[in-house]
Amino acid sequence: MLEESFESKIKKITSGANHTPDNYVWNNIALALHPKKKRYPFLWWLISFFLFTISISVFFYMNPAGKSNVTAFNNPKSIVPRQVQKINSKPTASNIKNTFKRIALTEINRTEITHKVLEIEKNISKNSEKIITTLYTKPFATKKLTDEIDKKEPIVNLIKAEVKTVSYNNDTTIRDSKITNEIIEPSKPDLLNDSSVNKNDNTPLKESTLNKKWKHNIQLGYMYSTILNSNGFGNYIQDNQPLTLASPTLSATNNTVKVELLLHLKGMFALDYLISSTISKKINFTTGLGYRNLRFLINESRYIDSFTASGQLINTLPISKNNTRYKINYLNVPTLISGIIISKNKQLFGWQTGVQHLILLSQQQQQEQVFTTNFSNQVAQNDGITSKYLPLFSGSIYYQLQLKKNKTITFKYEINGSLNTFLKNQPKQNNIINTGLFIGYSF
Amino acid sequence: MIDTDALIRCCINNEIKAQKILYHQYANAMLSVCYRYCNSIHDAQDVLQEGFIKVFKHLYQFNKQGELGAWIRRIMVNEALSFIQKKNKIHFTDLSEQIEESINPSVEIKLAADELTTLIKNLPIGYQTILNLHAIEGYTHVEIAALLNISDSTSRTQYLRAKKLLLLKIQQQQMNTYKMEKHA
Repeated sequence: MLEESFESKIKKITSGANHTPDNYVWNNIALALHPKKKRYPFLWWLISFFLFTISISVFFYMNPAGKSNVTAFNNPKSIVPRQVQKINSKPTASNIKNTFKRIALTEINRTEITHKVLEIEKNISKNSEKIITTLYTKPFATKKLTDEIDKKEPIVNLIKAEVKTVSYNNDTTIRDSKITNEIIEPSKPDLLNDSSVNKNDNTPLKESTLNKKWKHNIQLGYMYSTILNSNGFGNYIQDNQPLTLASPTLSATNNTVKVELLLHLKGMFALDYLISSTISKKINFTTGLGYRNLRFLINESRYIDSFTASGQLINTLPISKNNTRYKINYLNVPTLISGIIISKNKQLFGWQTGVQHLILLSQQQQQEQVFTTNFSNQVAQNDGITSKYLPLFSGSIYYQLQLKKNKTITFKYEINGSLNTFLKNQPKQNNIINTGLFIGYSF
Repeated sequence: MIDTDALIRCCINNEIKAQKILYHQYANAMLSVCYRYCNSIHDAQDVLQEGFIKVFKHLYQFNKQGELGAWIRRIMVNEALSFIQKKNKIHFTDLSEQIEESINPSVEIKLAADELTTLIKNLPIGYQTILNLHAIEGYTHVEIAALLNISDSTSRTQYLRAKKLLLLKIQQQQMNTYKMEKHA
């Protein structure tokens, strides 16, 4: 009874307790039972889409590839393709030159430029397009740059471009023969009728002129000048004294000036630097890896009173298409005397004179020849030529060589000629010999 | 007067107005039930909230033979038990020897609801729970044993001890009140 009484009392008393829940309790219950549905779901989707689009746009606007130089240098790929694209669109020497100038102007340091150049070269390779670069300026011809490049693979190795065609003189196409060894003779640019060539003009051919003719074949180039005074060789060249220029080794004797260029190149890319700085060291020219066609251009222009060439003169083209493996392209220039020797044993191989032909020569002793060539040996004998106003070095020699891999070669460039007349007739006049050596390669 | 069946039907159809009516009809009473098991009114409201959500979600299971209030109360009690078990496990203490001698079973309870509730809340959790379940909610010891996963003898023992302790506290409370009134 007590227990029941106790329970009933407790129950009775406690039932009197009254508590009122807060409003949030019901709100939470209602929310749990009736979750709010999104109104206008399509509108929300649309807004989200626009916000996403805007954010993406802002992102790319703030970080465009190549927008900032810093960004470009940090990520060379971001800018290089643009330049390459520009180059590819019109692969002229001037374009390329401008490109490099532009790079030079924006350079931060040379290492980065080097990297960029390499990147460009790589892209050139990737694009399989003929790209010609001309380095006239020095930004890349520094020791630092060369050292930097030396640490890496030579560009010639990096470039694996497969050039389909090479535009030549605007209207001619030279098909690259690196694989097929196919020889296609280009049409001869008519310098004779070229208004840009003035035979009576003692001024050297301008670079622009050279470029105009050779712009598609020049990749690396170098040009130097020396002044000939009444003594013959002015400040630099003394009779019977070795002629020493800034770059190649030149020597002069009494009546003969002998210009000898020993080009020791390690990789094509560093030509400029090597010529100007290390030629005296006689570093062997190792052309690197996997030689392709090496186009060698020697372009000189000068009118002198008389010129007598020593050695064998050739009036006819020495090259036979059938048995030569390498194409010698020649220009048809008025009265041209050019000489070139390509030899390891310093043999003189080629001379050319005459009105229409330019030359090059072949190798007589094939075993000694560095290049595994199959040059024709048709050398015409001639006593020489004496003529007024012969251009001492006028015109160009353009030939292609295919070099063996890992061979060391020496380019020897000799120009032998009597300067008597030249000196007599123009005793007081400072004459300028421009010797431009352009080495270009294409693949 | 709203028909309970119609109200239940509307609640099953998830009509928010009907649910709100049902909620307000039982909210106060159920909050008191929850509050007896919880330490604070906030905990009790949480239990009430979760309990009502279960009520509305399982209302279709209500067989209409019993009373709706009792069905809801049962849900609330279960929810409260699971709540306190989740929060702190129910410990069953033994204070029988301390209170055995001083208890006066015939004590007359002259306390208000809040005072009694406070005294009950001051009991150990095991005593408190079983006292609530048995004395107030009317659960049998067998049901309590099943609910709390204990034996029914444990439930009985705990209840007796809880009752004695509560009576002792009531006695002390009333004595203090009497003294204060006398002094006044």
